[in-house]
Amino acid sequence: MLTDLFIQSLRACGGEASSVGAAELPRALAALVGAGGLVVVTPELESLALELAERGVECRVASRLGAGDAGLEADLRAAEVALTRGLVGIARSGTVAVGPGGGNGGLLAALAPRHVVLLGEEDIVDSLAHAMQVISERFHGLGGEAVFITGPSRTADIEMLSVVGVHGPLGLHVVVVRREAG
Amino acid sequence: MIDIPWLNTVIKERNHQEFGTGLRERVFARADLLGDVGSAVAPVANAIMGRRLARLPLARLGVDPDRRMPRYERQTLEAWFRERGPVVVPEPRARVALFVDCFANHNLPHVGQAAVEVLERARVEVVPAHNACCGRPAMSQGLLEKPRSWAAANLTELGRLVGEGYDIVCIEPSCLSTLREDYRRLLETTALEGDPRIGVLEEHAYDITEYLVKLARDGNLGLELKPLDEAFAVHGHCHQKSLGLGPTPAAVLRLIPDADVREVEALCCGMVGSFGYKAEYSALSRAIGGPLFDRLAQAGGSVVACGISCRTQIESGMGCRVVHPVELIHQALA
Amino acid sequence: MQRLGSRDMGAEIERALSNPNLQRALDNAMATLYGRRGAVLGSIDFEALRRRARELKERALARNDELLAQVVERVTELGGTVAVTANAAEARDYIAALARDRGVRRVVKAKSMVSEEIHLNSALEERGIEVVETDLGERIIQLAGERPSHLIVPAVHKTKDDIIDLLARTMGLADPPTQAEDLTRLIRVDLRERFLTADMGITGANFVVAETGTLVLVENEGNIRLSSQLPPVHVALTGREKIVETLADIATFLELLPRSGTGQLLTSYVSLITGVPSTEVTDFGRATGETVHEREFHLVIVDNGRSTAAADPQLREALYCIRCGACLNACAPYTRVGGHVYGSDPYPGASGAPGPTSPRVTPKPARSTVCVPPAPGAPRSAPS
Repeated sequence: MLTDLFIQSLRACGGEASSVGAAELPRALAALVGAGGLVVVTPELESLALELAERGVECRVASRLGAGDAGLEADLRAAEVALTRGLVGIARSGTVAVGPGGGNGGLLAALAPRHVVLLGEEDIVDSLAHAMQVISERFHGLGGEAVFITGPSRTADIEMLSVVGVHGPLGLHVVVVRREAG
Repeated sequence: MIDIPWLNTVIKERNHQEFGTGLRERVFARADLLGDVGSAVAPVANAIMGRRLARLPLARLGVDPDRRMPRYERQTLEAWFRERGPVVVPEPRARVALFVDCFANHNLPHVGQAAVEVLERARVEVVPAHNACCGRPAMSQGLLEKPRSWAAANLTELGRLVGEGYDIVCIEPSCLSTLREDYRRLLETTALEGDPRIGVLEEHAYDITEYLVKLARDGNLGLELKPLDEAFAVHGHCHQKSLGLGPTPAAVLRLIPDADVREVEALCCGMVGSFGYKAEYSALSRAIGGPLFDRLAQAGGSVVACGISCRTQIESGMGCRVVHPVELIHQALA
Repeated sequence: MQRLGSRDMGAEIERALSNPNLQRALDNAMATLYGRRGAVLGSIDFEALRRRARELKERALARNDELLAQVVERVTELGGTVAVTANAAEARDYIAALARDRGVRRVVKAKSMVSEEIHLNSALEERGIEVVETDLGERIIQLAGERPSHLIVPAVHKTKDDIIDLLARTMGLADPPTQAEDLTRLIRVDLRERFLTADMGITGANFVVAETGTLVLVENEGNIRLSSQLPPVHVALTGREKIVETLADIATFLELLPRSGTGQLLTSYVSLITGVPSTEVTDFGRATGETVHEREFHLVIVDNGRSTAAADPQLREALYCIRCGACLNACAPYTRVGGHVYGSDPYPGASGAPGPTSPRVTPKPARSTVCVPPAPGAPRSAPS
């Protein structure tokens, strides 16, 4: 089962992972990110942001604009959690890819101390080659960034000691969303 | 994958073209000539070179006078072959042409003799190849002209032998590595580029330990060996490892009944041909050897190594005798 | 100019051997890197993977001119600017002029060996621009005023105690932290503000895909993501040998590079940057059909001797390297004395820097020692 392998692989490289049914998502997310400070959500998850806000989560939809946008900078400085959608997951390595496409999803996800990614169960594939194919199709004629993310930001530059959280997020959590029958 | 050793060689060659070649490099390049001279005047050469005082002038060449040179033997392996004449093995299981390398020939002929006698006991016919130096010592100095002509001569001689049904067996792993891993690149820019005999040689040249393991695996060794009642600490040669033959020296020793074989993990002995003799590198060479010496001592038992470099380095670093696995197999012949 | 086998090298080797901190740092790091790599190779057919990667690099290099034209075309189409520069001076001047035109005062920079090769930092600093290295190891080296000594771990020659002293001195800390976590956090906080206020970000590129015009950047820290995405101008600096044919090829290289470099299945981040992201302008949630580029993007491709090397059947070999650094970890002399002895300018190694690992064509007196392949996987068989 790809989802199980994905979750296992991600945990092995220091990330967190869970799996929830689509109907349960807003409640589960509110529990996960609530009271953790400002949650900045990419525009494509706007409706989810509304549901989170209804549940009392301090939530803001990120600006669509790029560098130099005043709203963006404010978001970037204040965000404690970045909530973005994953494009494709790789079971074997516990990798999730975000982007491409406009917006500041990638940037937000790089700056906030915690990054939470929603990944459709059906978007998990077995190998890097397969994931690259998915990305390749998305890239077709489109500019922008895609980032393969495998666990939290880390370094071993000081005496090869593994330290988590250098410039990117200290925590990565992938929520695998199960599509329920019916 | 990148052939970094070859790149290194090429860069050294271009350095010579640009800046000229030092005497030291020219001397180290000629293991064949050094061997000829060394064997010719062996008792005198060994007596003289055995004294540090006599080696002091070498410092002006950039050679560390504290390094002892390998001893030269008066009777070369070639001469031994000549003297004993052809040996007929009835119904041989295989036919081997022994690659007579500069070191087995001049410094360690007894290792070559042991190899021949072990093979013959296993009913393998052995003849000496009339080969030139493989070219490794010169290549290591970045001098490629001679190695190219030697490689051409060796392709002819060894190619002929393979054509007649002989397998080529090497004692010195560095020579085997040259034949198998470097001739293709070495001959790239010559008339012999892509010569089919290169591939033939790559396929039919073996390390002596590899060859014995192969015979045993094919059920063709048929040697009766007696236990030796000692433990062996085995150091792997870098060129064996690069050829994928890391485990074969230990595997050969395990042919000896009840053999207690301890493989010692280390990057390199640090000698690496002429490297350890060069004044500016000799301290580094010893520092590289340090961890290996410690591990060999820790493992206990007789120290076993295949190449002349490793042998010299370990003998001088640990003050013990080092043997080639084939010497031990020879010793174990019932 | 250093003669091969000169006495100076002997003195430098002696110094390195008698430096206990260097010895401790190297002992620890080399064993760790070598071990981690070995631990992940078993899970795949590594030899087949290496052969495949080599074939892909050979094929791409044989078509390098054509692929370069394709990159120029694709990146330009996607709103970027490509500068193909013949040598170090041209590349430096291009970036310096761009910085001047954009009024750049602060540059955040991710690790780029090509930037070391062309001595970019000093060129920018001479023009009054602050250059901030953001890779943790590179930042340490920058604060120490040194050059990197390893392709993957630039500050591999320093112990934690060296780094504590360095940060205390350069950041004016009376009571510096002593744990690696806290030292890292200190740098994170210090650099975060510089990221947010930088006018230009400079990165390298591990691969450039001709088919799509995509840059591939491999890292663990996240500083490449920030350097490339945050400032209003992104400059990517790379050598022309980094161009490969297709995005599908990248899967092969990504299977290989992290395993061989750091012993990871994949690094924390692999960024695929295709031209300049454009955003559709919306008006209260309704698309207007208009798009704006989120930032400026310049791809600076450096030749600096690579074409000549590519035309040379012997030196061409160096251009297939993917810079995993594994050959260094397996190189017996390197593991004892580190990269500085070899004159890290900037590609280090007993394997013959600056010759073999740098694509220079003019033979320079290579400060190389020896090179025999000591173990499966390196260096003869170091991954391409």
